[in-house]
Amino acid sequence: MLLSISLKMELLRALLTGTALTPVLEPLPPTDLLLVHRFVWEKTLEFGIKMQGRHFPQDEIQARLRSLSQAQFSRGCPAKLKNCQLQECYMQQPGCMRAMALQQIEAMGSAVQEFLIIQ
Amino acid sequence: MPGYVSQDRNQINMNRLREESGVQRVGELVVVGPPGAAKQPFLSALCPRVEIANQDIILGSLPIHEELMVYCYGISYGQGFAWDLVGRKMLGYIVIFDWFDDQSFAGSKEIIEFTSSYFNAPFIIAADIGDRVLPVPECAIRPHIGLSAMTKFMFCRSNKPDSVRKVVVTLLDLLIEKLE
Repeated sequence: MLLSISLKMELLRALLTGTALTPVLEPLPPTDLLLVHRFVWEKTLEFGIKMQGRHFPQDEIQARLRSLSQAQFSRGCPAKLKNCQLQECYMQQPGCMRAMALQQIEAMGSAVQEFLIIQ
Repeated sequence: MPGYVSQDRNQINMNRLREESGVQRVGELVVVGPPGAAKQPFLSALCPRVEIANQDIILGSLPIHEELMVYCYGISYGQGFAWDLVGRKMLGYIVIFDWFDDQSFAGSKEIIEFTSSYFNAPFIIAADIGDRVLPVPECAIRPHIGLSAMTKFMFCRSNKPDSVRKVVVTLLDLLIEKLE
C-alpha cells in the first residue's frame, strides 16, 4: 500500500502553508492514516534538518508525540497495552488509533511550522 | 478520462518540426497544467523556439546537440491532447500550477491522479510563484522535495530561464536515475 502522489501533494501544501491537516485526514481509513503518519514524520525530519541542521531537536519532537500518546493512554487503553502503539491498534481499535494518529500528525504539522516560520 | 483523444493536427505539427530540424533522435517532454497555469512562459523560458499549435497546445523545441532534439508539449489538461500517442513514449512530464491559486492546485491534483494512474514516467510537480515572494525559506525546499522515487516537488518561477532550467534538469536527473 502506498499513498497517492496527489494526497502527498495535499499534505505537503498544508504543511508549507500552515493550514490544518485534519480536513485532509478525516476521510482516510486507518491504514492510510498510518502511511500519512510516516510521510509527515519524514517531512518533519526533512524540513527540520534542512532548517536547523545538527541543532534539529528530533528528541523534543519525539517527546512531544510521546506525551500525546501518554495522555491518551492515561485515559484508559481499550486494548490493555502497556504503551500506545498505532501499528498494533489500527485493526483492533481503529477509533482510538485514529484519534491518536490525528493528534500526532497535527503536532508534527505544528512542529514543521515552527521550523519554517511560515511567511 | 479527459483529454484522452488522438489529434492528427498535433501529429502533423510534430512531424513538421521534426522535418525542419533535420534531426533523427528525439525525446518528448510534456508540460501540463490546469487552464491558466503558466505553460507558455515556462516553455518560452526553456526553448529557443516555441509555436502555438492551437489555443491549448504549445510546441517547443529544445536542441540538446546536433543529433538530439527534445520536443516539449505545453498543454492545458482537459483539452484534446494525444495522451494515447505521447503519454506512453514521453521521457517525463512536468505538472505546473499556480501555488497561490486554490483552483489551480485542485486542477493539478486531478492531473496528477490521471497521469500517475496511466503513465510510468518520472515527473516534477512545479509550483509556480511567478514574481511573488517564495512562501517558505529557500533552504527548506532546495533542491527539491521528494514525493516518491519518480516524483519531486519544486517551486519555480515560470518566467525565469534559470528557474525553469532547474526544473527540467531535475527531471532529467530522475530519468538518468531510472535508466541506472
